[in-house]
Amino acid sequence: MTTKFTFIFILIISFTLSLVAQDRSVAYVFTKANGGPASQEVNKNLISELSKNYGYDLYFYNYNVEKELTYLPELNGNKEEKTAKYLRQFSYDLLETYKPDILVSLDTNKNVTGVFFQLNPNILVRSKTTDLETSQIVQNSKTTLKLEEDHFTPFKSRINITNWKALFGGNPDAVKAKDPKKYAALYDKLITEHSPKMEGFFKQKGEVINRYFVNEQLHLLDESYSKIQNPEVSKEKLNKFKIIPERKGSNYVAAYTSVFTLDTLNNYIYSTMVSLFVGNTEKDGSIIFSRAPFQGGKEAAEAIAAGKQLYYEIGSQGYGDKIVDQKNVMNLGVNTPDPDFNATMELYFNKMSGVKLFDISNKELIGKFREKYKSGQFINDKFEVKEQGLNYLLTASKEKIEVSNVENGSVVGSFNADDRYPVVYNSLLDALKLNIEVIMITKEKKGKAQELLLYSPLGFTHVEKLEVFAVDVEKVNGKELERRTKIGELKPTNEAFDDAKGRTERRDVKDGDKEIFEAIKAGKKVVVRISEKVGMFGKIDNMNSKLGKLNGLK
Amino acid sequence: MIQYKSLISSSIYIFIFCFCFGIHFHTNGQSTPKRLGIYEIDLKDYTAKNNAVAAGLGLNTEDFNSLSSLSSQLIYAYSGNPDFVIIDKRNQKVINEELERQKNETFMDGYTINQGKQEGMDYIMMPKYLAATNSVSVIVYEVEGGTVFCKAETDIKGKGARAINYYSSILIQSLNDKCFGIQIPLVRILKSKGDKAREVLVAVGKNQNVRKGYKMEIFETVEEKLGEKTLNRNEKVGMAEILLVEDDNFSVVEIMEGGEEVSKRMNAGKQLNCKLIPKN
Repeated sequence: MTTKFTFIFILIISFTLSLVAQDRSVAYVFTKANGGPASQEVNKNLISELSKNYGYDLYFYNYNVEKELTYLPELNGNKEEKTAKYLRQFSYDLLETYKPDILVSLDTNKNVTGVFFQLNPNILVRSKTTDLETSQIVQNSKTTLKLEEDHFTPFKSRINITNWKALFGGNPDAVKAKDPKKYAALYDKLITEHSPKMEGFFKQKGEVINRYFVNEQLHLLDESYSKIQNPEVSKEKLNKFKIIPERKGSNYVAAYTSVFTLDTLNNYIYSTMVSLFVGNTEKDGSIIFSRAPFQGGKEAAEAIAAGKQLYYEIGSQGYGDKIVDQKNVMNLGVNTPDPDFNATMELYFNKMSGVKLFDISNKELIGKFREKYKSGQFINDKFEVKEQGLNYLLTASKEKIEVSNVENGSVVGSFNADDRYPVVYNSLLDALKLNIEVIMITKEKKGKAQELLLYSPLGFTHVEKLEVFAVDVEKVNGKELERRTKIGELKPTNEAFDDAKGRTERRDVKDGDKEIFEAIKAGKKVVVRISEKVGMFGKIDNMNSKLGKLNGLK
Repeated sequence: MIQYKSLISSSIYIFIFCFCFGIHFHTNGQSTPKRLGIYEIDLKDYTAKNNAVAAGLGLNTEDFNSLSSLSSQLIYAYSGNPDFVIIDKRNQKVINEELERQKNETFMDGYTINQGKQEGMDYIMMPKYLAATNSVSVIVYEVEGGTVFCKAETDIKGKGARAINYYSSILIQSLNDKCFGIQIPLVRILKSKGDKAREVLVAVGKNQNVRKGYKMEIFETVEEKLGEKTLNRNEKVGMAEILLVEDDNFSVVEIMEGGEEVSKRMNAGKQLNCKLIPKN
């Protein structure tokens, strides 16, 4: 089950799209990737696969260290260069040294039971898509792909050295300490001996990267969900439904696809999952979805009978949101000196409702495209620069991050850059005067809140514990200060099955059911924050390791 | 002309009425925020003497990085305080660039902010590292008169980011006290054992950059008469340690010394305050 859901995770694209555009022209800019067999695999196969276009109009470019932008017609069947609406960049890190250490497994008596090379099964991938006309970031992602969990090629990252006794005569570590020269010679011999397996492993890594980026490209401008038309209901159960993808490669079918209803309450949209389905592509290109094993179709049929529209999931970013007044949208730019940190912060903000994120870090490259498009060659192309001014800027200096109001130049919030993920999350909420809001109590029993429907402008990661606070006003020396008192805790959710995915989420109450119920019913101000307690995995619980999850990725 | 006269006389009446009855348009318990410009810390003293002095003081790169983050610490501390509007002078360049950019014709149909709304400054803060004494000082200038408004300084004892962060908090507290009259009041006793206060709510939180474990001295400001003069003296009442930083504004402290006296004075309605103290 875990593998299946990991598979869904890896392959379902993870976009944060906020645009409606018919223009499907995309300029791909290649940057130098890591060396080694996998990168060759990526470069060769990715370009060849992307060149199939899948309903997009792609243009490939090289942007070299001298900052020269060159069109690469040979990668695009020598087609004429036209203006592109979007700029797309991607990068990957194989997290590979190509010289793995020899590791030893020991039994409880510290006797050697096995000797092996441990390869790194992880790959870090990132991508960003920017609207070249407005500079708005329309998609970004960052995730760690795990080769061993890949559905198509579950490659083992451990390569056993079976002849270790003959070679080392005992524990290789003892040889290493006693006779480093002998150890080095044996190491080189083993690397040569096992290189075909290792190269195969690296090649697989390349293929996993390719599949990931091709999938992202396929769904670049797709919506995250779609309406189910003509659902087949029999015996008061929804059994099947069929879709006809608009274009080749679109509407990717994951192993399990959730079917849900969407409801609106005040200004909030939330989903309720009714069943899981499995899709099969037919010869004519249509996809038939059938109810997954052990899934009842009754709830889905009841929703249809009640006149509700059913939807099926395409992207995994979720559907819950808040309808935001466009006048109150924040136009934000991230301007920090570290490109990696810049990308990390952009991932945070591009998930937020009410925030339009603009690509400051690519200002120079965007400028190169715009300059290029001024030439006579593009005179008949539809390309118009329509810049939007920023009203907020995020900057970083030394260890602090600051959010500034551009109009009056003041700092509206500041927080530590190296804080753990929950602290940064909460600090962002505080700096921007935002809250995780309780939309309503969705389940209650005898004056106790059992489940809450929440909205967070930063989205949820499902795994985080949440704390609920009642806000009182304390008068101190004539000034009124808000004081938060913890009144309860909310449980993490099961990501695969939870309802109301996205920026709205349902959470079971773990502690303080009575206190939460009473505070809400009494109309008291109640706020929710991520628990900042350091748990068992507190040490690795930092912002960077969690950012992937923030974006619905693993 | 008659209309103008009546308008002027009405205004005078309204003004007198407001003045007599103590109505101030900007009050309601909230004063106008002070506009505070914070500059980058001056580390010339450090870099000039880096090798000799740093070696002598045992300072390393980590200390240097921590020192250079002092301006950020000040911004962090004051930006969370609604009594201040903070201008980070280090960001002025990028903000000005963005303002300039928005004047471009490509923004004709797009969103632009209002130009000419930049905040002027009431005060300027200039932090500086003094290598000779291994201390940091902050001079606050009043912009209108161009004079030094006040100054705070603290020695740095110990090494590493943790020590420097701690002394930054002491410096901020000293600035609050000396320059802006901001105290850390004890609000209420939360837990007692017999007649001893054990845990007390204090009005200091994340906004002032405090952390769990910080040591504090509890005092009462009493008046001492010296002939004609009356001077304020901070009389030590007890010692406390931060047990929990609740939120931006409040923390819970555990009373380590003087629980009985704290209880007695708070129950008698005396206003007790506390301040961070240097570590031994």
